[in-house]
Amino acid sequence: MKEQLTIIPIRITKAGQQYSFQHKLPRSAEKIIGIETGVIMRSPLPLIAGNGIRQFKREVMLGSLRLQANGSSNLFYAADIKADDNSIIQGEFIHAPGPAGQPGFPFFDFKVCTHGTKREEEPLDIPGCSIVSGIYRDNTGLLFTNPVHYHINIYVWTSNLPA
Amino acid sequence: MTEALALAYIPARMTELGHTAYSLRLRHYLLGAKKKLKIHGEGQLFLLLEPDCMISVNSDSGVFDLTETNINELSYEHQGSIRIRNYSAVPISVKFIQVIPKKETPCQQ
Repeated sequence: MKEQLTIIPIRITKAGQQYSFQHKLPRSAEKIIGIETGVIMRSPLPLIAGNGIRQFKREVMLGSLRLQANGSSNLFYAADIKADDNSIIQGEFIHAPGPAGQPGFPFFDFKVCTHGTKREEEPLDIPGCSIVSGIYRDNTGLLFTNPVHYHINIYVWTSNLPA
Repeated sequence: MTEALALAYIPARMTELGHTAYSLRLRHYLLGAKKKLKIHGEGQLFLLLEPDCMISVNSDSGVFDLTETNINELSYEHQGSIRIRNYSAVPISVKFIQVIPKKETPCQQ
């Protein structure tokens, strides 16, 4: 089985933006086997204070995504798009938080896992569709006063028909 | 969307979704000034008919709101949880054609 990846880019520039899209899958695509999402921030997020020395910060939900395929599968995927995974640094030595309500020391304030994380798509099995349509609703208008610019890439993994 | 367009659209759409049998209902909601309404339309289709410019229809599958500037496309087909809002200071009516899929197996007598 040969797999193929297509990318649906979304650019969000306004707070509360709602972006509808339609994406044609390749003719050779037999079925959708996975969906993966990624975020590229184009403007910094406003600082959110943690709750004390442990710096438990809630994750910023940028918006919600819903995907729909033509055919009987209809609405097949819904996800919350988050700016960052804050739980990734908990218990990691590399992260040195600052005093309560303050950011960590710049040199140590890496929000990365020391061993890295493996990104994987969410497995699906959606046969017989040729178009993926969807809607993305931005949530940052409810959280911040200033607009936050970011790009979202939706990675659609498909398996191909045998040649 | 007009009634004629909706009635031409429904058979093709329901065939695409894999339903050969379905029921149709005309739903005519009345919303008072600045009122909101929530419809539970899970597993059904709601087709918006000739909407007023002062209403907002927001559902799991799309948005219809002529006053909103942050949208790039309007949707006349809605499903799932549907929220309707009347922006106007006067009562407004909202019409839908509700498409309810039937179970394929016949009822046992």
